[in-house]
Amino acid sequence: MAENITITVDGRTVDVPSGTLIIEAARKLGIEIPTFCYDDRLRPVGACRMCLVEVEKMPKLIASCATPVAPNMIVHTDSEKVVKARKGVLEFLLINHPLDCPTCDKGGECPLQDNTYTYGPAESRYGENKIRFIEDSKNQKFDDIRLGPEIFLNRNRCIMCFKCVRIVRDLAGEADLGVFQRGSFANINVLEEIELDDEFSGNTVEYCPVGALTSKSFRYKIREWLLKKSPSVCNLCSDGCNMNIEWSRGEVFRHMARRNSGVDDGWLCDRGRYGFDLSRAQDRLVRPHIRRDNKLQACSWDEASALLSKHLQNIIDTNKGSEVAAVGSPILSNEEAFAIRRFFSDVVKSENVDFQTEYPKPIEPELLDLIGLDGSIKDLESDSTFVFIGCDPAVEHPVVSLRIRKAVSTYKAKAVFISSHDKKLGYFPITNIRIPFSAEAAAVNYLVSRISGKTTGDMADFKIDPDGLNRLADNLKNAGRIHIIAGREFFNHPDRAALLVGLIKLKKSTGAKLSILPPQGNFIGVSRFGLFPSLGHSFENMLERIESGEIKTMFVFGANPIDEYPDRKYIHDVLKNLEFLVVVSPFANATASLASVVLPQAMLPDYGGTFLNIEHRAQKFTPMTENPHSDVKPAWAILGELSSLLDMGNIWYSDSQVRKVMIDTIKEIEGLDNLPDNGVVIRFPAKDGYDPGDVSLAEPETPGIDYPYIMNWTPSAHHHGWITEKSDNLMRISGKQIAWMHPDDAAREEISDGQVLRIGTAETALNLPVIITTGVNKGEILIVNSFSANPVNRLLKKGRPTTFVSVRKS
Amino acid sequence: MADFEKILFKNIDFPDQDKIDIYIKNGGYNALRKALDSMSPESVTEEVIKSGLRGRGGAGFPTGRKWTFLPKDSKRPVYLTVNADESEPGTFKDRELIEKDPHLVIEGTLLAAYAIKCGQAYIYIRGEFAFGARQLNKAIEEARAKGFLGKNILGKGVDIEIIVHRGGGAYICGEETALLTSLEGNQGYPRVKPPFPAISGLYSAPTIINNVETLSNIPYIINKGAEKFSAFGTAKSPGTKIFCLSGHINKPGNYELPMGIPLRELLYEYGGGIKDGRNLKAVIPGGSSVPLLTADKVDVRMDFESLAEAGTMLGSAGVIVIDETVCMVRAAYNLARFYQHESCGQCTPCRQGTYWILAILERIERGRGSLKDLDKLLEICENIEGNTICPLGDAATPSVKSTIHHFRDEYEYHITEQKCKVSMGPRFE
Amino acid sequence: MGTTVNKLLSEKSIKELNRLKGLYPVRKSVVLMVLHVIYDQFGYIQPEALKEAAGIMEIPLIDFHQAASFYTMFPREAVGKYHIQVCRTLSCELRGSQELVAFLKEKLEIDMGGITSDSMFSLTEVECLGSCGTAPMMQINDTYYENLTRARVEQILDDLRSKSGNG
Ligand SMILES: Cc1cc2nc3c(=O)[nH]c(=O)nc-3n(C[C@H](O)[C@H](O)[C@H](O)COP(=O)(O)O)c2cc1C
Ligand code: SF4
Ligand code: SF4
Ligand code: FES
Ligand code: FES
Repeated sequence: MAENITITVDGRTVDVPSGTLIIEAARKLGIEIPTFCYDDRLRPVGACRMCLVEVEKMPKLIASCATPVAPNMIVHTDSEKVVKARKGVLEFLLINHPLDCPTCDKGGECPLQDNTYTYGPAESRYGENKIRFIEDSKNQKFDDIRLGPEIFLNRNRCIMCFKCVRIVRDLAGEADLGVFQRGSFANINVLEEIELDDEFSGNTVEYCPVGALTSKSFRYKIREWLLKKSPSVCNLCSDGCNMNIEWSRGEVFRHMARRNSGVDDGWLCDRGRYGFDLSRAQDRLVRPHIRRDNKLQACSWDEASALLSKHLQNIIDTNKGSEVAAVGSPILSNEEAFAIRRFFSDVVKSENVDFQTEYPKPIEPELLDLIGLDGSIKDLESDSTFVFIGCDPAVEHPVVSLRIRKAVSTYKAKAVFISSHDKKLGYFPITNIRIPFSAEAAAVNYLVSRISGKTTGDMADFKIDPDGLNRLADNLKNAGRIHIIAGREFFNHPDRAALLVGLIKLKKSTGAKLSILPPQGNFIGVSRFGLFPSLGHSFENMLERIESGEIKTMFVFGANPIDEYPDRKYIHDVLKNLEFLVVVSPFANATASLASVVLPQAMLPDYGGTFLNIEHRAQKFTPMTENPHSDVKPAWAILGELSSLLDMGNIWYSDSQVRKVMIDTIKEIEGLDNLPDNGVVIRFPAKDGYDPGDVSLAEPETPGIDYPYIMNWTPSAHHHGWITEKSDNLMRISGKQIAWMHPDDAAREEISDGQVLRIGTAETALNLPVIITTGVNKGEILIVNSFSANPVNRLLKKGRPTTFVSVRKS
Repeated sequence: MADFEKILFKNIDFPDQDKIDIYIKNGGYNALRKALDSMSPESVTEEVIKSGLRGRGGAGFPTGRKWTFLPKDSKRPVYLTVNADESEPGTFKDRELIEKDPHLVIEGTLLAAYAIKCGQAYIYIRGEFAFGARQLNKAIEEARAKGFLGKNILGKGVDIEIIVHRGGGAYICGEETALLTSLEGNQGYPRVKPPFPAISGLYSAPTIINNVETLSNIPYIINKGAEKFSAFGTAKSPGTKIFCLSGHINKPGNYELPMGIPLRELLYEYGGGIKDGRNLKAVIPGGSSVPLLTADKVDVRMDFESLAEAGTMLGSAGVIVIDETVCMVRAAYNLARFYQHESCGQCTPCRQGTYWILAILERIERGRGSLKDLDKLLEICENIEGNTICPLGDAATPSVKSTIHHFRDEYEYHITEQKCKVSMGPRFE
Repeated sequence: MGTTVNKLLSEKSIKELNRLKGLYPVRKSVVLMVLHVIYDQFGYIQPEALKEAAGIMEIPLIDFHQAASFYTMFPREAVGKYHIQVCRTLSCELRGSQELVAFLKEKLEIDMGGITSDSMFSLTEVECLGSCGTAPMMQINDTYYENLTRARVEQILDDLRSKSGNG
């Protein structure tokens, strides 16, 4: 397979691996062939015929985008025949095109316009009526169909390159966009009852070669050539997709992919793409506030800093650093994490630093080494069996899941999900093995025993139906390239220690890769660069100390424990005990409402810095150079200023300055100094052979009569965590909080699809519409999390692994 | 014409020929028995190569040679798909075979499957042939009951299944790669070649596509031997061929005759001459996709080579006879409408070009043409030809080009006088 | 993944769908055959029944709609009890298909694409049906009617009317 083939293109020879397409061989020589339907990441269709070239000894012109090289081919990309054919193609494409360029959003970045200018005929000879797609008879002049909450289509502009449908169908495996009718009436559309709202839909707009597809959030807003681009990295999940933030006069207009073939390969998910409006949201916090007369009131930075430095000075003077705690969050940059750690340990003399506000139990230090992707993102394409435990890649790692989708759809890899509710990779074939809520540890241990031929424990206690697991175990015995992936539900798991033991054993017994993937943005970065509580108290312990009065002051950076912590009432009661709470946040939130001081925090794209993604790749993001939010600051700037007021060194003016100190301190990260565009994978030395020993499985709890249902929750693909709720775009796309329940339960409760239910206990409850589906277990209610109107943690109880609820029509 | 033996239509009108007992009584399934008894798959292929049989679907590719393009010892299953989509205007031969002698089609399919070591064959039949599909399914069940089909055929350890798959009304699905895409459950979009179906076809596995008539010749070749077969017809186009006569001919219908028969003989001896004694104006000799022949060319012989020499093609041998009363602008418009309707819409030149051609012809028809339109039409044709994914683009242009070429005066008259130069009287009686 | 209750599909159709389910190495191959099942039961692609079928086949609904709109033999809206499709392509036109159409319009008192007020007949034109040697011709539901003359057409319409009247 690996042999090379030599071909000649326009008189120059080039050596390429067999299987290379002619267009790619030409590109290697710097010869650009015009295209419309070609995309090196999508299955070639050879539809537009723009890329026709002449190959000697071939009777017809051939599509260079769909034809692989053959030995000794002599290709002409600019012969008379080719030039004529291109003119012909462009003339054809324009006959039914509305030529409404002045009002089209693609203007300035339109391949149809560009190719017509360079290769097209001087004038059109077309004098017939144009085909006009009209949405409905009483519709306006232009077809302008709403395909979904974000995407609109003008079929008259469409040139049928099939890119959008290939993205939706072949890449994502979704089924919400299609081609209807045929011939000159062939057109892209959705079904009446199914919207285009899958997690990758925005890519269709970005890669449409004309202005047929537009985003509601961008269209008619600005001309492309007025936009400036700031290279950035998305931090709405831990994949770290590269993007450009496009803005003008301080206003952000859109996020566009910035292709990094090792990471995103040029795709963005809709969360990352349409979350661009977060930083300019109406209720963005842009000024400091201090509590006066028991009310948070806007003030100047000088005033706020003076208050803070006075408070800290007092602590430093009285040597009461241990009474102070700092809480960060995975939305912070590496530099911010590092600066927070530095500031609190050097200046305040407190080691009480953590960021784990979401978990019932802090992560064991040994586990830290296991967190992250085993191998590279690209490697995922060549794995042949995936076992997901407590991980929903479509929701937690949308763009990385595209690699897994490719492995499944193109290379026929198997994807098996062990969970209490069904997962999906679009319509690609996967296997769901359903287990009861939180029985993951038991299931994994069962698998291990089965694979190693040991007697398997009785699954009856855990109510696990062993058939699916038996089949999986048998498959794993013979499978190559197994990859076990644990995710969000692992971190939230009530029996995490036992699950971890099981996963490590499973890895050993199958020779698999094991990845434990935190879903949140810079989780790995902040944990590596300072926010992991290696010396001081973890967040969990901080809370106890607050209750006991040992901790009196808390700084919160980017976190929102009241929305995040798995027991809302408890955390609220605890934080109320603080004497001094400082919340640094991009938005006012539930936690901030308890604060003495609230400071406006910088977020993308107000500042620069670096993140680490799931494969430990350090990547740089840059600020826009004009910013109306002049008062928002990253953590290092706030703390640097305080240091300066306190006269304590550690004075930071820029992210690169912080980075220099980091590099001096942590030797593995030299590469951070001069990051190339595609980032650098940092290799932290792993502490080898972590063996957590044996742990016995927690007994499953059984529901009582009053509260017969187990409550479980999940994020959604477009919305996860407390921040994304601030995006109007994302709320428009998936702004509906719902619950799912099994049809048998619904029948018993006489509940019908779409009804609003009161889900909860006597004390408190959530009111949500329900969808009835066999995709969840009987006896389980699954709820979408992260909506402030109905926060799931209102129902959670600290120390209780399972939450039981009742359900009734409200 | 020299004497010849009917290969395909020998028993076509035999009462109850579609019933297996009668088919067997008339010598049916002997070839299958013979092949399984005494011939290896390779020697079946060898015999077909020797016969010189060429595809009857339109392109005339040597059938045995095509089979040898399959990879040797493929690890993937090999598929045979029988092209029964018959949608080329003027063509109705496969339908007659299927409806009246379905076992011949099945036996041919089984032999081909045996030769290429295929365990699963599909007959892709155009959706409108509901009766044909029923006939085939009935034949399959009868053959299965007699042990000719299914597992362990005739006790020889050979397994072959046949599934009759119905299309849904799309001419393009006759194109072999579109047929495969359609059979996979998608819109009938042709695929870019290479890869050729023999390497990567149905479900990306090696696949052979053959026409119904092509395969119906195989039982004879196996029974009687390659020499006997190639004794009929011409050296390069051996065998007999079913010619479909339609249009202005006294005795329309299917005629099985040796390849190379003069068109004149076909029209006047077999077809009984031009309808109602009118004069011949033109003949489209190979289905609507080939250039027409003017009346003075009726001495051409009906085989692949002779017709190519005459500037047209044998195609599917759908012979459409056009008499002197037909306005050629209207005829061109009629076919342009067909191709516009049948373009799959995948590639630009065909999708847009067929629409444009139709729009111009329609305008001329309505008396709103301009003389400049004629060159424009020819240039549009030129911009389509050779630039499309599949040959449908190329198939759409000959009717336009050859009518303009030979009957430009009728176009000009139409444009300047805003009406047909000749007008067709009532034909519906 | 909701639960669908099958309300429209007949038992026969469901049986056929289940037979088709395992017939092909790749499930999606059934798409056209499923459309035939729906067409056979309803005479057109009944959208709700299609939804049921998609659920049974576990194939995205859109795949069926894409196909139904590409393959032109499936009416996508209800048609007459007898759906008349007249071939309009060259061989048939040479033998009078235009006049045949005019005759049908007059007899049925409907336009092209129309349905008679009693929903008995609907009329459309189609491309070549592979019956050119017996032109002009038309297809009514599944059946071909060939070598048509005025007298024969009248006879056919009368027969169908009376058949339906009795049955
Ligand atoms: C637009 C188009 C339509 C075609 N229609 C048919 C058809 O209806 N039946 C057929 O056998 N071949 C048809 N063909 C030819 C097939 O592509 C293919 O060449 C043939 O089925 C091969 O079989 P053969 O080698 O036995 O002739 C068509 C080709 C094109 C380009
Ligand atoms: S909408 Fe755009 S991407 Fe989709 S087919 Fe049309 S031109 Fe291509
Ligand atoms: S030439 Fe016509 S029918 Fe063939 S692929 Fe292109 S658009 Fe489709
Ligand atoms: S770019 Fe090659 S055919 Fe479209
Ligand atoms: S032209 Fe009418 S059936 Fe062929």
